[in-house]
Amino acid sequence: MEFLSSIVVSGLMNGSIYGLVAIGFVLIYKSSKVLNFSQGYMLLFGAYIFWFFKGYLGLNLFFSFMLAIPTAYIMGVLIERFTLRPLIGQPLLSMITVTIFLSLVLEGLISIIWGTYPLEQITLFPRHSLRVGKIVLTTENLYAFGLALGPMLALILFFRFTQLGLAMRGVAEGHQVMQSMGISVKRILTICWGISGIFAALGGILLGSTLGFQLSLSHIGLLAIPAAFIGGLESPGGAILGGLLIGLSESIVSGYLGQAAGVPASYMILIVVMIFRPYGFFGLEEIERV
Amino acid sequence: MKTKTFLFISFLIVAGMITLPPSVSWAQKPVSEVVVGMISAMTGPTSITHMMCQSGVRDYLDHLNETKGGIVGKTGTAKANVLSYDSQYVAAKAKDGFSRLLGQGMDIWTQCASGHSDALLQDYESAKIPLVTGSHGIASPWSDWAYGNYHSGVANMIRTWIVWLKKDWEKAGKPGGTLVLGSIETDEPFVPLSVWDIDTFVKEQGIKLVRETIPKGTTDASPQLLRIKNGGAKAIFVSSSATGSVVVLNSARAMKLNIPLTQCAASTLGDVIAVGGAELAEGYQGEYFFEPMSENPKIEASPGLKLARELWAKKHPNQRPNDMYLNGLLSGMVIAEGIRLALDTVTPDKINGEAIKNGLDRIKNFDGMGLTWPITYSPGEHTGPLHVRYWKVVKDGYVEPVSDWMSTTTYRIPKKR
Amino acid sequence: MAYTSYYPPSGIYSDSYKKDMRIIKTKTQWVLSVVFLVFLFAAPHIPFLNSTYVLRLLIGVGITTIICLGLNILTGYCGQLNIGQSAFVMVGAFTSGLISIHLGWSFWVSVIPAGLAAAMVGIFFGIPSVRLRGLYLALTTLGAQVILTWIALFGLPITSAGFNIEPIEVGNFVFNTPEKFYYIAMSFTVVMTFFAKNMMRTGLGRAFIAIRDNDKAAEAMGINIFRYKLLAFAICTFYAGVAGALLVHFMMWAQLESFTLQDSIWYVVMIIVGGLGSIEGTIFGVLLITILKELIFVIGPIAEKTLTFFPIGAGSGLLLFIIGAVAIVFLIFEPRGLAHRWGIIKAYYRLWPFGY
Repeated sequence: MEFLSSIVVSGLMNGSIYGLVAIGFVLIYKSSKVLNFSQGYMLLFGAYIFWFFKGYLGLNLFFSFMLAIPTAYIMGVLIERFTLRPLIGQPLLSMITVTIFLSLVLEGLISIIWGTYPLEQITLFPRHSLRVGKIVLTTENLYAFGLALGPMLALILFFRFTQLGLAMRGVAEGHQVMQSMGISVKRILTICWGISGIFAALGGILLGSTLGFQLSLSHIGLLAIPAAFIGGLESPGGAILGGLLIGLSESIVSGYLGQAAGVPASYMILIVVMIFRPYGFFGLEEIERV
Repeated sequence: MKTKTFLFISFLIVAGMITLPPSVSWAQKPVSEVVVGMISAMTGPTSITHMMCQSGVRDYLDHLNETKGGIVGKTGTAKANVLSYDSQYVAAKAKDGFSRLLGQGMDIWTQCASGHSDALLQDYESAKIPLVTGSHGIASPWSDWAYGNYHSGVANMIRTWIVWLKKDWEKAGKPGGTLVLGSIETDEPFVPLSVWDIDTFVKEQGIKLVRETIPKGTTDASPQLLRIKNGGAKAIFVSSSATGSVVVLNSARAMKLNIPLTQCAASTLGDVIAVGGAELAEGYQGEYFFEPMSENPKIEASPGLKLARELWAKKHPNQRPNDMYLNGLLSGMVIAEGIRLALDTVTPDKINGEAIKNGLDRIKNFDGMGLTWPITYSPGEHTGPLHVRYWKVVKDGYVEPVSDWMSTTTYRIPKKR
Repeated sequence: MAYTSYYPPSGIYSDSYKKDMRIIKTKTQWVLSVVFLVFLFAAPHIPFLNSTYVLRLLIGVGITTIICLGLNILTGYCGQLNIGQSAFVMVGAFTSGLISIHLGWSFWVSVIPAGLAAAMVGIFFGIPSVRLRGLYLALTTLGAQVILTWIALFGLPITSAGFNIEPIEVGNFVFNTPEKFYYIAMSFTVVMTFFAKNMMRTGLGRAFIAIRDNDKAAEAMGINIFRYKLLAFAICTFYAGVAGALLVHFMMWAQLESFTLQDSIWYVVMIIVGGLGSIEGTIFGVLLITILKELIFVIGPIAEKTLTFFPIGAGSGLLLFIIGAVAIVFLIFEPRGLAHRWGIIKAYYRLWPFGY
């Protein structure tokens, strides 16, 4: 029982971070139909910017957060403006390729400013642990979980209950329709990328505090792709659930079968799920006209 | 607009075709110069370690060039020219880089922390270019042309640790009847090599080894650590790079594991401290084949370490020093020593790969200004110091030795598998 | 994608179906092709190009072209995005390698089984295409990459460690240097390119294009889309397998680390930059991206050496940044790839002085 509970906690922790990254993917896909391969690097950039404020300038936790979030937003906006905007209307694969090149650019930029060596470690949360029955939870786990889920829930509420959220959902359905309704599609796209940048930064900050601030953080970008898909590429709620699901299944498979079989196993689960529900659990089915 | 893009693209292609071939055909090197080639990953995920080693080699050879005009030997002085190629850790690119550097007149090459020493085995043997390597794949113990200055073979890290612990356990009167040890591994490509055929070895030693694997990218290793703990392990060996080790340390702390952990040489304690922080790494053990860079005030630095710190402060003033820099420095020293001995019989303008190999073969009791256990090379034995020392992280991020220099096991992974 | 150059210059006409489908339509094209082939095979003797390093690069381009041809057939002509191509190359590579060392058969015997093995694995991972489309299908190919990598890592110890392979032999002639291997690589490349071009101008190619453009309509017209999609997967991975066998016999070394997700992504980039749905485009794309990447490998270290006052890694980082930025600018100006630009250049030449 102790073993299972530690697996579950471990899986949920991982899963919440996958969920954060997956939301970033989903937001961008929802609005511009582009699969953003540089999500991992946006995450890295956000993490490094946070480190800049806290580790280098030495500001306290609260201020660093408050400064890092808007900077991440601006990063997302700049990326959208300079790389995706010129390609509107071009084939989708070109836009995806631009994101691939973008990861090169971001990696290069980060190397120039901060070098390739890991940055000094920062502890975000005090290290205590509680026992709840037979389960061991660290405050770090709880904070990270909360920090991941909080914004995710906020986003879902935002989509459902605000005007702007409604507009964004509309843009996802069809650009032309929204333009004819008088909503500036360009503005919505920019906002979507900005918010995606914020979520990337959040994920990066969390990951950085556990794994260390180093270049390999960007790998999670690709690991979180199945999480985004399984929930359906159009649904932020699905992204969260997908992230938790993938995190759990990875943890359980690795825990019981050993040999780090978790990652390939979660892909196999994903493929099987997709055959039965081709658009993910909450994705929108594409209705095609012949 | 269209002509502009056409011109732009054609410029790109022409520029590419112009820069590459001529820079290759320039192979006339000035007299009395030895070209040292470096092939490693300068971009990409593994670049951190490689870059540090590279800097070490380059800084040391530059230092010799600046202070003494080059490597001074009996027949004259040879200036060292260091050229490098970025392989991004891809074997095919490493081979391309090798032929490019060969075209640029390379006489000896070096690398560290990559499997390139195996992939390029046939290339450097047939080109008669010796390799001084700060790491071992599996092939270099078999190649006459590879000279190591680091561990005794990737499969010997865990074996040496087991032998060490078994000796201590026997000395303590064999408490518990059977010695149970744990091993936690990641799914990085070097790991299967490091535990090659480990079950036979474990059986020979008469101990029990509980093995667990954690996937790359996970943030929590508690399930695996829990299983090792339930298996009764008295100590755990961590076969992972720094990122994985930080995850293991985090989980161990969270679950209050209280079993000593030892880091394999795939990452140094210094790296783990850099990534995870001094507080997290406290109590963590690791193995070193040279002296660590740690600024522990209680330990007298060897002349080699003092030189390393000087060079670091001079060339990389805004960064923290790193252990693998020493590995690179040591490689540089071995290279210089080999060239110096080669200059006993060959004049500087006639230095080539074979001559340097003859020089390297004559290295006896070379300890790199105190950086490592004295290295002696002989035909058939180019592994390196063949000795290791275990250290532990104490308060404030310093490291202190927990054992003396001890000889390593010498298992060699069979060539025909 | 029909450019104006698809239509031959004025004066050339076809009076039979067969004539209309010719690859080479004019005498000039014949001459140019022959000259190009002669030049290609004579490269090891041309002083500018005959250093080992450049020949290695050219062989690399040749092998990558085969990989990307397969990929272009699947993604460019048939529209199924595949981001796991290097895993299929790996299947072919290890099949051929393991056959060589365990059964001792020569390369010529093992190259077809390598391709077939890769094709079978490809068909297996193509099965989800019956239900999945677009990016969702790309996900299953990503899964293929991850799963096959894991099998190679944990299934067989020697695949992760790497093992040596004997070079190719024909009688007493051993192809163990780039100068000698060049001919084998180039012959394979030329033959595979010819096959690809041929396949795509038959009904098969047209079926693929129909599926890409609108698969529901294609099905309504009587094309069995599932069968053709699987066929496209099979062809793509067959090409990958053959290229894999060539690759390991060239390097004489087979190791897991040579086949990563990064490589898969670069292959897709190559065909996009070159032009989807175009055979010439594949070659352009591979050439351009190889040159760009080579610039990183060669100039990065030089930048690193000279910029020591920056943090370690900044030099190569600077180069990455520049290359990435150049590539983005290129895509912004030429999103349909080099083949498109090539078509426009040809049209310009043909219609001069009336081009627009």
